Amino acid sequence: MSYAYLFKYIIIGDTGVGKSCLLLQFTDKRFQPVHDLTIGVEFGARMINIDGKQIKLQIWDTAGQESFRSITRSYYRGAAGALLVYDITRRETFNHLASWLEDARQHANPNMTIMLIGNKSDLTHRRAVTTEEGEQFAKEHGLVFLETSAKTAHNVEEAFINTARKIYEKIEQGVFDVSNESYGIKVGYGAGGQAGGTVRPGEAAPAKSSSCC
Amino acid sequence: MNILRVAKGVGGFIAGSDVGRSDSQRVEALLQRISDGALPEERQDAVAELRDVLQSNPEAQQAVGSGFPVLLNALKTERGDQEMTRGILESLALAVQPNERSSRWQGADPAAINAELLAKNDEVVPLLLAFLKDGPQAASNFYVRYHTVQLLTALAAGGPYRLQKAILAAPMGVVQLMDLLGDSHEVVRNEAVLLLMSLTKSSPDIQKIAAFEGAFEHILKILKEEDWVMGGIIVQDCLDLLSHLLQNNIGNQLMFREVGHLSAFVKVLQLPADRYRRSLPKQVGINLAAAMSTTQLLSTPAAPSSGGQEKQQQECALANKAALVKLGILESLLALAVGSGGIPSCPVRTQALACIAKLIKGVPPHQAKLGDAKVTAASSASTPALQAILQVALSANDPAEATAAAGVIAGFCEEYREGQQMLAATFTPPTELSTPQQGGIEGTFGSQLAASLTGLRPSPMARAAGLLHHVVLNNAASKQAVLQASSAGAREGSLLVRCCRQLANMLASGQQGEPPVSLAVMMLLRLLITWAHDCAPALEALLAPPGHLPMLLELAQKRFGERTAIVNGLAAALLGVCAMELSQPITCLSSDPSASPERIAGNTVLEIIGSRIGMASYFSRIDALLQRPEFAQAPGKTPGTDNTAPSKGEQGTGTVGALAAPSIFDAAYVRWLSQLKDRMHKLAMSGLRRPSGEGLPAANGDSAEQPQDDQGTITALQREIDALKTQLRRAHEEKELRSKQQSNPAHEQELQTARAHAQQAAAASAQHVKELTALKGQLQQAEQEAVRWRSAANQAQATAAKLEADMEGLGTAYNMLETHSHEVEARLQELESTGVSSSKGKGAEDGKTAAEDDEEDSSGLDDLLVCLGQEEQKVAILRARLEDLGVDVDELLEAIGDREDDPPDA
Repeated sequence: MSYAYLFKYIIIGDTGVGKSCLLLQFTDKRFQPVHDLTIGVEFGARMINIDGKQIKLQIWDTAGQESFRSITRSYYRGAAGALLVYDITRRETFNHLASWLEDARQHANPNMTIMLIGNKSDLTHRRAVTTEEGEQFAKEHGLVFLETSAKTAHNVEEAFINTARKIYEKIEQGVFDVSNESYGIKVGYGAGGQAGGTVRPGEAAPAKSSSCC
Repeated sequence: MNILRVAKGVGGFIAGSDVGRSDSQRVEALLQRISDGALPEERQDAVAELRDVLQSNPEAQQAVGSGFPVLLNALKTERGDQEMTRGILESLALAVQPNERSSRWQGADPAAINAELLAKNDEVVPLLLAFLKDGPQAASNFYVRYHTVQLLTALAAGGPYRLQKAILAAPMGVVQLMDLLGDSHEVVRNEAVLLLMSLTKSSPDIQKIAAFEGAFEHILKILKEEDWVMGGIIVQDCLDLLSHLLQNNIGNQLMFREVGHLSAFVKVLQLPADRYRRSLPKQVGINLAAAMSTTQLLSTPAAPSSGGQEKQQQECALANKAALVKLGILESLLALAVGSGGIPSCPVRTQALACIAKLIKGVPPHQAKLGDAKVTAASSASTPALQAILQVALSANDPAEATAAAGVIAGFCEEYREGQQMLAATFTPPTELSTPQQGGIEGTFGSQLAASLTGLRPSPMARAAGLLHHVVLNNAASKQAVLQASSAGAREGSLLVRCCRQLANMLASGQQGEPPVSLAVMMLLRLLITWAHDCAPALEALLAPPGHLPMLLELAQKRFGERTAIVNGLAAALLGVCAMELSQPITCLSSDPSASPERIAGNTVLEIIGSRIGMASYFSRIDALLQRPEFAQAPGKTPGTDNTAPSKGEQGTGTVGALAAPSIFDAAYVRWLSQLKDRMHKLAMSGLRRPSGEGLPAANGDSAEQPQDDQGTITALQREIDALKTQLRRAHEEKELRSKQQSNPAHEQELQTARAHAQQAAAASAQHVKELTALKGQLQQAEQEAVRWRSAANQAQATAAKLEADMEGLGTAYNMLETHSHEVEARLQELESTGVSSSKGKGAEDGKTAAEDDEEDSSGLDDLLVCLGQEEQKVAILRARLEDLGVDVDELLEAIGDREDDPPDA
């Protein structure tokens, strides 16, 4: 249960691009071909390990529908990372990326790490957006890019873990004031100070009473 | 403020400006000044005065409603002026807050109307939220934030749904409100808790955003700062907010659990040992209650109506329970409920017990944990927790507390056979284990329960019977275990026999109409029904003493005050169980087969019921029982945990046991009882059909009419005869044995009974043999008849086949005739046409040949006509024949005609 850091993620993007499926694949390691429309926001959590540090990921999966936009915007500010997802078989979901990005830039904290995800990479025969286009867009806007398949689990782990690694690097570089929890980052047990701690997994976490509250 | 107002009023009076003006006129004038005042000072003064007028003044409140546009406009235009902003916000807050004088105000509540008015205005929420924003143009003034939150809280009180919508629509609305939880000013923070309480109530969206923004962290931080449960009212507010955030929200519960907040939360229920031994401060009690409500909420799946995720809800509640118990919440709750005699607050103890029941019920590891738990008893010695809870269940003064304790024991026993058997094993009589265990509460769970059950006071007796019911419910092993353990070495007989003796004593006392006594009778009957059901040794113990059956008959007929219907019905049900179980093939696992030589047959019981009560009257008793409100509205889940309120009849008496009727019988029990009734009906029906009044075994009761089932009946009867013969033989043996020791007068009566039984058995046996022969005869007859019928059927079939073949032949013949006639007709036509053409084309020179031809043709035609006539005749004959055979000739002809029309087309 103890963790060095806790990162808050959000998953955003058009409706039907596979946001909930990505979350389910990452947290439960299963794929659900038919998923109910997400209402508002769903929550998921998983522990990962980066450089021997336990990192707890709290992930909020948002509804892609326009009618939920005002609700989902409330989640931008407090998130450390965002997965911006489009569907490689539906061109329009790629075309909407700019507006999502604008939304995020407007409401999120400027240091939020955004990962661009081209999902449904297993459906190659129906591809409507090339990998190069995705890479190009990511490069132009300073995002990290991956193509994933929530169905085959291809690159799903990487999508979440690479984002965490990026955030972790920023912490190491001192970009964040981690004591300010509104950046979506929380220091837990065994973070070993602000950066560069040497707590290895399995090692007893420093006894610090109720640092989880 | 009031002083200020008086001062202003005095000032106004001296100035002469306000003389004779009503409050509403003053408000109007002030609003005018705020809107039109040329100088900032003038406007500021007007705002300050308006604020004063609005203090506890419904009339002014009513008047200010129309001036909201003015005030909102001023808020917008004078944002830079903190004094002004603060005054307007405070005035608005006063305008929408209910005050003590508005209760005496006649007419609609002006505060509510104002709140409605303000909430309707779409501008208001964004405008107010802007005041909470950090930033250069926002007022960092504490008062501004304070009154803004107050105003929002008042608006939420008026209509939370509208405000929830407005806050969600505003960009980052909830996020800004969440920041208030971290406000450095406690007053603002506390107001924010109240505001969030109304906003998060049944709004999953706001609940989630709040959780995302760290609401749990904020709440737990405040709880810690306020010294957990020992804190003031803010602790209560925080715990209520926590409940609102978690209610019906799987996501938030998952987050609360996953992030490890539960480990902080369980601290709320940990009280320093002995701190509140003598008395509990009221607020601490309320805080504990709030914390336990949250615990209950976490361990209960949400109402099924909330979104069809039942499975996830169940899983979530189970995971919560597992985490809570792992973190030691059971120990904290036990300390509150029974540790050192429990916390000195009955409602808190009761709720703690209810919480424990919720946490353990249906989760074997938790049940096991409770089974192993020990608490420090009042005498500062270690006692098994269950025994301490039993003590409460048996002797608590407060009925609700006793019910809650009983609920824990019921929860412990539910679907946990090991636990039931563990408790059953403790029923060894005190002679063997008379030394108190480790100086704790004396005796064992079983001995304590048995002592109450066999004691003189009806109230603990009723409670004990209710508890023992759970120990033996649906568990044949523990039924036997209690029976054996309690009878071993006890001179008074097994516990079951002593229960019957209690019933007899209560009947003999003549006080059975008094509520405590009738309750005890009812509980004992319920226990006996459960005990005797599916447990042959218990049934034997119940029926072996000769006095028991008459006693049960008496219980089914006597009056028991307001519980007459229930007691009569239950006694009838118990008799039914006896008849039912005895009429089943003997598969008893009797501990000692020789112990029951006088096994009464089920139909004997039925016969006795018929003769002493009458069948119709008997069933009317069970029907009356099923129609009782306790049964008609039985709770779906297990009894004893949910419904803690005693029934009206018992509230007045006070001393009556807490196991109130409404919670005693659950739905499963009611279902079982109506099934029992149906089975009894069948049994009785099959029994009454026999002229002798003998009953048939229930399994064959409804199949006696069909000859093919007679075989089964015969075998069953033969079995029964065998059984009766064995009984007869045994009875004879015993008779001989008894006659040898006839010197003992005590055996006289038993001997007589035995004789009577033997005679009965012999009579029954003879009757059965007679019946058997009759049935065999019937069967043979039936078989003969069947053979006869079968041959008749074969004959009929053969005739039918023959007729069919005939029909087919006729049809073919007819077809041929028709074809023939058709051909002839066609030829005729052809001939006619050739005849005409030849006469025209060849002229006179050919006349002769034509005449010859004509002659030839006409003779041919004649032939054809004759032929046709013959055909017609044949058709008529065939028609007559066919009609005789019942064939629709016209239809047939038509069909044939159709068929003939087809070929030329093809």
